[in-house]
Amino acid sequence: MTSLTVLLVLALITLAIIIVSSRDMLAAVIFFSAYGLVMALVWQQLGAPMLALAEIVIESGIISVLFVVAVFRTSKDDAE
Amino acid sequence: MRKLGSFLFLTLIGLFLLLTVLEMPIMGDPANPSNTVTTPRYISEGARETNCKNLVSAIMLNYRSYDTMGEMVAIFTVLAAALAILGREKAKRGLSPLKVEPSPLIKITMVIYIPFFIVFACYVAINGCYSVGGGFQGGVILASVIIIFALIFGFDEAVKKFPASKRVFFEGLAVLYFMLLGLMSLFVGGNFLNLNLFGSPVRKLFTLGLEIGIGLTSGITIASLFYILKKVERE
Amino acid sequence: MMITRVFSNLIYVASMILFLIGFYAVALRPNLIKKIIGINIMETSIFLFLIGIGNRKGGAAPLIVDGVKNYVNPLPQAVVLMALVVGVGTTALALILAVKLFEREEEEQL
Repeated sequence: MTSLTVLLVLALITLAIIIVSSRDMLAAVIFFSAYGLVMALVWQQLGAPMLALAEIVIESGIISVLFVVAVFRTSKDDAE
Repeated sequence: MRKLGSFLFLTLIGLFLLLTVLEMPIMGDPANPSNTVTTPRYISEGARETNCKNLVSAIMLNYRSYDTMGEMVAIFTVLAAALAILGREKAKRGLSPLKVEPSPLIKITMVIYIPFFIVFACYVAINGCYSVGGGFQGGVILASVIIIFALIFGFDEAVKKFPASKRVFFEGLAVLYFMLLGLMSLFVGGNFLNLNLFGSPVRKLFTLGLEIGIGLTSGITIASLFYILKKVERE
Repeated sequence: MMITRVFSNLIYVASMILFLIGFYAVALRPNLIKKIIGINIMETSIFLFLIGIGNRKGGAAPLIVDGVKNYVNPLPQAVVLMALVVGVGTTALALILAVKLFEREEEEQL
């Protein structure tokens, strides 16, 4: 357990609280992307680089794009 | 009142979880049950038995290939459910959420980069047994390439370049391949999906095929899910 | 003694805290997209827990190299890798259901 891991874990919890308490849906999604990135770094510290590679692409890449598309499609004020 | 009650319930659950976690053995101890029961066998024999230096790929494609097949079936089921709910996208009616045309700089940069992305995806998928990577990782990188293309060049262009008629073959490929391989090992005289019966070179070929099949199927399925979600019904 | 236990099992404790945060989002937030984000946070916290179980002090990544004897446990990692891809599928399906629900509501309001 290095000090870097401790820092990353604290950042993870902070990011999760920011995501849950944020009012703006788009900001929550962007913070979720950052959360996935930090989570991948923690996994790399724990000896799982294969999973970190998958996590970076999936969590902070694909799922975030899916969330952004869904937020755009379900937002009420459809500025057109 | 209801909010307070659920908050108290949440605190109670958290207390129980924390107490349970503190009772667990110290993390990273070599004497933990998780490190003493089956793991030494995987680590000492896995690379020799499966010809895979990457033990995660070795477990996924050989020792637990049945689970992987079930997982591909799960992905396939998700796609089927999504198609039942929203249906395939249509090329003409889609509206891009990008209100402004992206600058030519971005377009030209992406045109230069996209072949390198695809080469990287192929490298990660094919070298799954010998380095950090695997079929899934390569597949999701491929899916992200398609999604980037759709985001920059517009949805209509992506649908035209990569229509549903081209994708539908790959979406069921891995399930079919797993089943065929399982039936083949039945005919050779073993259990379902027992790849040990084949000789080493044939087996290597099959494993490579599994990596590529899993990568293509998971990647194209995720791209299809993105297309379905992006499809705009309202005009 | 308790404090040293918390520190040595920090990953487990953190994953449980993340699980609770995700559970709070699922249970008490009205927005559907927020609920789905909460499900995702719960999912990744459980993955973190599993990887923590498979960890081994000073262990290298499970990629066989000559001369290295101490590897982390590859079995939870294989399980988590499968669950990751299924997680993308379930998230996409949940989002599709949410979008469909929103469109249905909008149609009824017209």
